[in-house]
Amino acid sequence: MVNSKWIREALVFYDGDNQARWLDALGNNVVKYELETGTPVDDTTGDPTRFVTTVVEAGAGDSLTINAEAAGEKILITDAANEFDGVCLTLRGEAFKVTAGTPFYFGIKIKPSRTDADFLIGVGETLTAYLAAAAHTVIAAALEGAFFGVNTTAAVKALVYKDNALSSTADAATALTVTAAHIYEILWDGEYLNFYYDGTLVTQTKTTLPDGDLTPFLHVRNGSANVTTFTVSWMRCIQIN
Amino acid sequence: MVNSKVIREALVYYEEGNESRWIDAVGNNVVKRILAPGMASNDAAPYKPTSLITTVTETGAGSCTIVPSATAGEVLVLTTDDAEYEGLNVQLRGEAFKISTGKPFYFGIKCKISDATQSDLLVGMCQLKTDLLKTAAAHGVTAAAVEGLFFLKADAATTIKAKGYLVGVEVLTANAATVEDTAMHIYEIYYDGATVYWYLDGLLVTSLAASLPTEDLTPSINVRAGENAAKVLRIAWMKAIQIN
Repeated sequence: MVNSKWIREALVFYDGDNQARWLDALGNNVVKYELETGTPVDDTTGDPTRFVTTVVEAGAGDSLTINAEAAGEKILITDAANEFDGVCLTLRGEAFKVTAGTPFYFGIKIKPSRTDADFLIGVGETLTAYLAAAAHTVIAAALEGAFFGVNTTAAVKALVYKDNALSSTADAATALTVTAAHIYEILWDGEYLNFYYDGTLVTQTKTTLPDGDLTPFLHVRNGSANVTTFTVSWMRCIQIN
Repeated sequence: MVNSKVIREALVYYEEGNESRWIDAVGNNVVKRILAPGMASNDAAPYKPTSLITTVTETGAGSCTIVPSATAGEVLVLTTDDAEYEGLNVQLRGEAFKISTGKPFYFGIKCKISDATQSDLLVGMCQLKTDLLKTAAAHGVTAAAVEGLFFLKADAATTIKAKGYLVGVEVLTANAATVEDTAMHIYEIYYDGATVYWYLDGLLVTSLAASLPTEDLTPSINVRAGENAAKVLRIAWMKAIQIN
């Protein structure tokens, strides 16, 4: 059930069974973004207009982001058919920041169609690529933020980068599954960065945290020469300043 | 006044005195879209809003348009071109809503058509289709492949009807009221998880519990001229909310 509480004079709605799952917030000091039902897209390119969209498609075919035409789902990303083909979506602007005493929440529910996919999802400084062009690794240069990541069949990890260097890592889950969507959440409580996988705390850290301005992003790719789809049911980010 | 209640663990705000008029909802299982002022649009006529799929029918010179309203209290204005059948088919991108047992939803729109007789108007929840209403030769629903729950006013008539379609077949029709072009009216469709109810200005029109649509649906509008003169549909608000 939905409950509410006051945080820094803002009204925060949260899941009554999980205080770390923020649903919405009201207040003059609230900065928030929620992926919309009917996500606006460019009339010509078809790309979502609220995101900086960078597409990788090495051969024939297209990597596409569209509004999902299924009840309860928001967007559907379909990679083209080559290894490393995919889509990087970064919300325009950098409206969020890890600042002492000003908590924020990031959450996404997403399901890939293949277990050998790559993805990096969370909040980071704006980049057009977070994953290396021809290797199943992150691009460390200029990388800063907090996110979940997986490369091909490895375990999903909770990651923190500051000043282009990894400062925290922990296994969040075993390898990807394709039978159900999973929920990845990051809660900055003002002191600790907490990572949750399907509502269970994975890890928390309070040292060497990112200090740049951040924005929600998702970079999803094929881990092999097979088309992979990613269905996003919801994504939101809320900060109380 | 606004009241709230819990439905399937989500918090639903509704209008006191009218529990079937949902205002907003909060919850992890809430899917919703509420039209807001200042909708982002493409730069050239007909200025298609980027979150809507807009299909224009215009045979001659001139242009249909769909623009944010410049009138207080309104969000969107749709204007047809000036020949019979010219107009706009507008649907929210995606198909995020569905009639599913036990998962209630609400659709509501407050709008006004500029001509009560010489116009076609459809508002409600439909499957994606670029021509919900016929574009030539006759006025009415393009039956083939239409599926949904909506209100319909066809050209030459002033009666607006509640309609239900399943796989291109009409399963419900009921007169709702006589349309007037002098005031805004509120058209609402509420599914309580078992039965669909149609309301006009807060009054129950009819209901349907069998032969309900099975496909995914999205908020939909179709407006057309019924004669060689432009018609205008002014929208104060439109929203759709489902608790999954």
